[in-house]
Amino acid sequence: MWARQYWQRWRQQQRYRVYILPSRYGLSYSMLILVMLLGAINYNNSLGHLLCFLLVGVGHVAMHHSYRNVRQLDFQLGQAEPVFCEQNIPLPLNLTNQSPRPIRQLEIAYLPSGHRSAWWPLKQFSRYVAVYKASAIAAEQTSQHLIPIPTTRRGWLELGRLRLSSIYPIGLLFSWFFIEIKQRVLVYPKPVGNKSLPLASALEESGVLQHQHGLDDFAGFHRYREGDARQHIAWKALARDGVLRTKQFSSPAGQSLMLQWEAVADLPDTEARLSQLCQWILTADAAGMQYGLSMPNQTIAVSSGEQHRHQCLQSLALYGE
Amino acid sequence: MANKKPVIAPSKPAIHWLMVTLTIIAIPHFFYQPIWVALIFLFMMSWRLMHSWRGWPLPADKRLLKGLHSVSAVLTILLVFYSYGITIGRDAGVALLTTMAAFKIVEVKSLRDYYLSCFMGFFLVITHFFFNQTIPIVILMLVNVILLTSCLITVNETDSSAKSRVKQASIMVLQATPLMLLLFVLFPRISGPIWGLPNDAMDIPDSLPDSMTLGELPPRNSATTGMSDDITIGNISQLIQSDAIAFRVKFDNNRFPDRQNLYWRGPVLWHTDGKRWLPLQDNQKQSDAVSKIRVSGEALSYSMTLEPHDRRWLFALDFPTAYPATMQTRLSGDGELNSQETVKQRIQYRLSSNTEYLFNPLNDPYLRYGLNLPEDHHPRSQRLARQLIETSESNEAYIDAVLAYFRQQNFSYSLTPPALRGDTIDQFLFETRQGFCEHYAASFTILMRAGGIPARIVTGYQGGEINPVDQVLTVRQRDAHAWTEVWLPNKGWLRIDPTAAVSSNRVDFGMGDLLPAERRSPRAIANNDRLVEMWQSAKNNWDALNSAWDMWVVSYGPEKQLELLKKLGMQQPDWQKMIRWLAIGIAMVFIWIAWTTLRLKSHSTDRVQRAYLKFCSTLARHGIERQPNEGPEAFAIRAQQAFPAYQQQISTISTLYMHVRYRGDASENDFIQSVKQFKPQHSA
Repeated sequence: MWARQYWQRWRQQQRYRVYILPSRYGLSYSMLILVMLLGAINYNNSLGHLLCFLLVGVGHVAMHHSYRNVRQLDFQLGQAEPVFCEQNIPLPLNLTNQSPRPIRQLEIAYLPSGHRSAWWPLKQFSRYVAVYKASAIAAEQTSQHLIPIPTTRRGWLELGRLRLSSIYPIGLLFSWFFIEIKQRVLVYPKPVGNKSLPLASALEESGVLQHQHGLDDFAGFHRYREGDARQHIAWKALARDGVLRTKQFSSPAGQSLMLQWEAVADLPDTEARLSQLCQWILTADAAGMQYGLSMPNQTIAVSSGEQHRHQCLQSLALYGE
Repeated sequence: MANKKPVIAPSKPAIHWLMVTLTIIAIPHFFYQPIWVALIFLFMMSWRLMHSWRGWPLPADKRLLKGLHSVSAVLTILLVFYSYGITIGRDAGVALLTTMAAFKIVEVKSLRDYYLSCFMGFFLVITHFFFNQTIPIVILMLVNVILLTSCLITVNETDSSAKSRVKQASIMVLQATPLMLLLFVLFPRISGPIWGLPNDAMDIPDSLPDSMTLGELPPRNSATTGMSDDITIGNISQLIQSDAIAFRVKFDNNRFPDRQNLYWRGPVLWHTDGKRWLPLQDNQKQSDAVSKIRVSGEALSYSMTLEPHDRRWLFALDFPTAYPATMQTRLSGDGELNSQETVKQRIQYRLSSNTEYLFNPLNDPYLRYGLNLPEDHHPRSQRLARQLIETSESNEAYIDAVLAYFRQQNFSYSLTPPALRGDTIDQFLFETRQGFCEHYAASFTILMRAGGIPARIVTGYQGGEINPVDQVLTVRQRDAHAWTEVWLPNKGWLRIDPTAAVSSNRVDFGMGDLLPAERRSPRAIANNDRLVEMWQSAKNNWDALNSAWDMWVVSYGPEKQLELLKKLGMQQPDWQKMIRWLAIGIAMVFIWIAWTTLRLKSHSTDRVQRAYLKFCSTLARHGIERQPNEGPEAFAIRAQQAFPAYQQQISTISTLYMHVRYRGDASENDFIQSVKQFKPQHSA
């Protein structure tokens, strides 16, 4: 009876299946043992046999240690936040080491979805991109890791799977398991473009010409947010206390801005236009301006704030999908 | 896996660790190898070391250095060929491997190079066994494998301390030993060689020569080492310098013959040119010649473990009457026991011997060779023989007269006799009169032949030491001996040891007593009897251990395997049964290691941690389970809420724990005591 209970408890712990295969060096190692064994047989050298068998034993023990190193992990995936294209999505992953020994040299690789090949599972191994290394997770501890997942295009991104692997302790065996992420993340367009904010027209109407370059007026700091313009980061302040801040610049209060698709119509392709709009939104948001977005398929009224920013960026991200 | 990874350079600690390991592995080889092997090795190591310390360029950094490095590697290979000849034998192979490992070390810049170097290291470890198969070298093997394993750990992980990596490697090697022993015993052994063996496949430290020379030896030509038979022309006095084991004997039921009968028969020498003694030529041997033996008394059975000597003869207690069943042997007409094949590895065979026997009492096919004297040699000896025979009534009386001559004149036994020049026998008999067995045997034989009695020299060993620990008689090279056999009608060949006439101690107490004291025990303790006794007893135990080691580990081969498995109770062992048991054993080892590696229970020796875990499991039994990511403080609060009846105790224990752990201002014993007293009766 206890055996069955034990088995069930064991099954419960198995949230994932661990695979293990000899690595390139493991295969060479077995060749080495084979050659040495042939030599020992040829020379009738009994102690040569002993060494070969010791090495077989070490290989066998290494297999258990390698398996153990990835077996006793518990993991918890967090929610991935939207990012800009070509930035890495920081995917939060909590790793708990349940064993009384540290887990070492964990490598995390990412396979984008849609790359599955069913007939020969190892074929897709070369498509995994190593994205993260955790050198040690202390015994009976939980640690949080941000797994950087690369993005290549805007829009919804279906996250694929992670492969957690290790060749610890002696690199002869490669053991791994998979985590299916089962999430989708919004990827905003990449904020690039060299057009300046289309302030002029709005300002001319109100006749406040001296504020044409109103962005120059320093108004204070706010904490750095993903997507803030690099040139606005307060590097000196960072050096002082290690907190990443962005300089904020004031613009005339009540200044409102409509960012229009037509204003970027002279750019060569859609992606460049979206990128330019994206950059304007970030600039306007950083300057604390009120802004709206007018797209061929959607118009977002002038507003401000985190939620508004996201709404605008989402509209850009999903344009044409 | 086929991941395209950037080239990862092994870390500096990993490289240094590898260098230390390879040096430890290579050092034993420096003793057998020419000096340039060691020099190349140390040069390359220093180069790499200087790269680490002072940033000296490596071959990869500068094209010139790379060229130099490659050229010198090629030159080294040519040097190996030049020194050892074009066939790669054992010594050449080891020299090549050692130097190439050294050349590789300055080239290591990727993980692949590093693994290659480690694998070369494993290969170097196995080559130790071609030179030495003793217990210390196996201990060294374990150390080396631990070091190499820790190299492999280091290259994959450098966060932890070197000590913990060595510990991890030691654990792994220790856990590997059950499988090693299992495979060692049960892996079906195949009798080699599969392909040819090189000439220098083994070390033959010393062995009995197949001829005997009195006087000066022809100079050894070092260029022809091991290639020609000429260099084996030795004399027995050289062998007496050697404590190497010739063979070991285990008598059934520990029935030993008398010391006076411990004559171990080897090659028989007939021909002499006045200086050298040689066995019968092949064309003089008669294929139909047989040794007719009449025995009396009880036969002694024993098993012999003969060290390899690269010859075909086998040694047997004078005189063998039942021959080995396990190998092809032949007893020649002059009483030489020969194996079909040269003895290239340690062999074991069973024999029976009778110490009382008559050997060809009626006639002997080779009698005429037993009377040959070299022409125009030994005139004074022949004159002496004529004088003595005139005064003797019978052959027996003549023999006694000659022995009496040795005894009465001032002959003495000496391990360092004066060199003999010219007519060696005459010079010895009438001038120097100092010598040992071969001088006495040769001159006695000459005197017998001059007196008309057929005589020949038998070489072999005399005596041996019985180890009181395992009752094994060990015969060493220093027990080498030569004696004479004379043929008398109706009595056959009689063994006469003229050395015994001069020095009865040689036969009665063995060679050991005649050796200088420092060869029996270290000089430092030689004056203290108690220490000498203790040293002797330790030595006996060590010898017994080595004897068992040689017999059961080093000689473990197909025959020994069958013998052992039969002893362990396997009936009619064959390879299928071995494989079956091997599979069962491997499964058990697999389960054992899986259990030890995967069990979650902390087996730390930390009493505080153990007590706290006990506290947690007590609470878990009452339904309050600690989450893996829950700290002791959060858990205590939750437990107190869930289990209000024991709020006070839970709080005390948790506070004590945190104080012991994180502040160190509470007593460990108080904490452990309070955990022990925590015995909740009812459920939460």
